[in-house]
Amino acid sequence: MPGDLGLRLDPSQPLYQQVVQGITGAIVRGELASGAALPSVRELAQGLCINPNTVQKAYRELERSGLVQPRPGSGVFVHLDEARLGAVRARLAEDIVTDALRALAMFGIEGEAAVELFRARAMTEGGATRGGRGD
Amino acid sequence: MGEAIEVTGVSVRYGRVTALEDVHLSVAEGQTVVLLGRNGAGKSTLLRVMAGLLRPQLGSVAFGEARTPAALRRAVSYCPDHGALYPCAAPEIGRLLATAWPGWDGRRFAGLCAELDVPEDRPATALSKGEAARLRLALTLSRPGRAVLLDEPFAGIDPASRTAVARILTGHIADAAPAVVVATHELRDVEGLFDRVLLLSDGRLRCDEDADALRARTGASLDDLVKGDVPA
Repeated sequence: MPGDLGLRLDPSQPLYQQVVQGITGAIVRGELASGAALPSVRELAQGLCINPNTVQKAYRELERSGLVQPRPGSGVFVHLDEARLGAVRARLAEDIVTDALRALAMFGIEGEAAVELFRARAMTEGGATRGGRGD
Repeated sequence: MGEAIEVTGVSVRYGRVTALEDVHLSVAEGQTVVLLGRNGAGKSTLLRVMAGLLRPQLGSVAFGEARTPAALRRAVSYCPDHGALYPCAAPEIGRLLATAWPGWDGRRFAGLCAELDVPEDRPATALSKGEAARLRLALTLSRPGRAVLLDEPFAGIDPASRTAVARILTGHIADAAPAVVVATHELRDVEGLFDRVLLLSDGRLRCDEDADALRARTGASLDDLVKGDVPA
């Protein structure tokens, strides 16, 4: 895992939230496994060219949501509690569905029509993507 | 959190021209502030007042115990965007300053010069614009100041060196958590360095906002805001 954790930041959106979301995503996808060390604040700040305060704030937020744990003197580590991971996954999945529904509503596709689209898509896509992330 | 640079009611006039008008602000240790504004907005004047190099006609600047221009000059590390450099090469400058500046960190200076690729074989007066800018930054960050003021540190510097400068600044902030104020027009690839934004216009402070709050409010990058693509 490189010093920037492979994160790509969009400077037109709040940076702190993007760091939180980027690391949360990497944990949920299993790219950062339980027990893995996060880069030091200095290292990630330099890797992403952002202020160390921003990284510090993101790490505190991840700690509050129970995904990482600081160990005094040795750094911050991914702390995987299956129940918590399930809750975060469910919340992220809800966000994805909400975004998709909002986008569809802009085309006037709502309610049962939207559900039907999801169902049809799940039937054709389901077999292709089940059990793997593709990459 | 330690001290803060406190600017209180500062006004500066050059003859009949008003450069700064009743500016109030506070920058605490650990904060990294970008000072934006068009040419002539008063950015360099404000930095020079904060560095103790210019005495305002009205108002005052304090940084902890430092309350006079002479005390500010000792307490604050200031990097101008131009100006005379010594007519000798970087290593020689380092040896000179070791005897002149209390707390000068010669080892750090040598390390910064290497990291910033400052030529060691030519006198500073014979360096290119970008090389001289990098040398000024190395000089500034080798002083023990708890406050760092940089005037256009990215001007005239090629993209690879910009990244090196940003990396060094980020490391310095992580290690020392000084109060940092940077006046710049060039934000591309480096705007993440700053956690707070000040905007000067006609000598007045028009905006003082958390950088991420500004992004959330406008949906624009600081770079876009500076280029005038989006109204702040």
